[in-house]
Amino acid sequence: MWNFIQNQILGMKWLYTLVGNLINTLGLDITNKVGGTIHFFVYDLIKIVVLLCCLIFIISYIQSFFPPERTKRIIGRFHGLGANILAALLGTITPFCSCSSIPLFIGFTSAGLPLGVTFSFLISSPMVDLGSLVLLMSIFGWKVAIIYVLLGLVIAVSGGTLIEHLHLENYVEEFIYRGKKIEVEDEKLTIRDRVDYSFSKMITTLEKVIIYIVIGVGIGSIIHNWIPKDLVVKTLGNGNPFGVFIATICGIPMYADIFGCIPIAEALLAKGAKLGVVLSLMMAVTTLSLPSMIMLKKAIKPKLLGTFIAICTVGIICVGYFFNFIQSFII
Amino acid sequence: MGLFSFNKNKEEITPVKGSLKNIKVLGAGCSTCHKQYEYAQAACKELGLNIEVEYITDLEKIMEYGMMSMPLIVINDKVAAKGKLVRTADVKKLIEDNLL
Repeated sequence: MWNFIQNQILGMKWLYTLVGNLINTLGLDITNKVGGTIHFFVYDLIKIVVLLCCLIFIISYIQSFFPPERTKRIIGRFHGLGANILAALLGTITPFCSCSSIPLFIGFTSAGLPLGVTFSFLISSPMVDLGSLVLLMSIFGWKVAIIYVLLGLVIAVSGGTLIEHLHLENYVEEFIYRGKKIEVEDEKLTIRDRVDYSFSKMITTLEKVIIYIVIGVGIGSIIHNWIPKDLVVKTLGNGNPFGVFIATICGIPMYADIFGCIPIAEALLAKGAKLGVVLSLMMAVTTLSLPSMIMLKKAIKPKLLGTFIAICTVGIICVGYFFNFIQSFII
Repeated sequence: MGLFSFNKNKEEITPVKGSLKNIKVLGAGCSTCHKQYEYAQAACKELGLNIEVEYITDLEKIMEYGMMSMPLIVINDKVAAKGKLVRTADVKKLIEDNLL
């Protein structure tokens, strides 16, 4: 039963066969390189777009129950490590646009939440989210997905706790602490409101990320059909012990949506890249994107920003090597 | 990107009853917030309102509204929408609902 869900619903193997047959009828041979590339491109593009639409809709619906104001109130009731853990967990559910990170940071800080708690939220929010969880399940299997989420949460909680212990409160811009404490009542939303919200979020997200998906699937298709296997193995696979390190450093300045990363990661893995290398790349791209860093820099001073980046980088590298190590046991 | 804008607004300019003192779009600078500003501008134009939409990206000013989700649409000094991209047609409805 689970295999059916894994292969047919999430993996859409039936779509692969269908597209293959369609292309064959159009006269192209899918066993040669060009036909194979087109086959993979069309199949992967449709699969990711459909998955994206379903995921964003369902997740936005869940997220409509957790607006930032409510998250702030919930976390505010807890202290210490519990608060960090809760912040990391809520970070995965709360809607997050990179330009919401600053207002959120301000809101949490002016509500009196400790710096470490806010950072646990800021780390887990982009790195671990329900969308990537389901997508990872469809590509890499549920074991990888669960471990990825757990390790992401561990990085978030330990990163936040570490920042707390370093007492870097002075490295937040002063105006943040002067923020107005406005208690906003939660909007009473009907089911219709939530459906409308989820649908509009789905359309907006699709419009925003479609270009990344097309590019990502394009690159993935080329890797799938044209890049020789031993090149990938030599640079990103068993042939290179520094693979994780390189992947993380390369991922940091890149800005791409996770949905665009997945087809590339998929293709690289199939060509012999190690699992940890591929996942480190994804984590680095989503957590430490340049646009987010630029916006965060408006709210915190360089030393705190540097610490944040360093903690995330080290965390991602460690997780990457860990996944490399356990790869044979879980795939 | 306008992939799904099936109803490209080709409506006539309709005069609006009531008055619009100011309309502001607040954002931290990401592409969604900028799009919101453009939709707000288009809405004002289509309603025949001769008013400049203020686009505020200054963090200290944004903080005065105490909101945590961007983009924000503030009409006549009241927060009319927050945290989602509101299309031109819906911005027009918001303006009409919030006139003095």
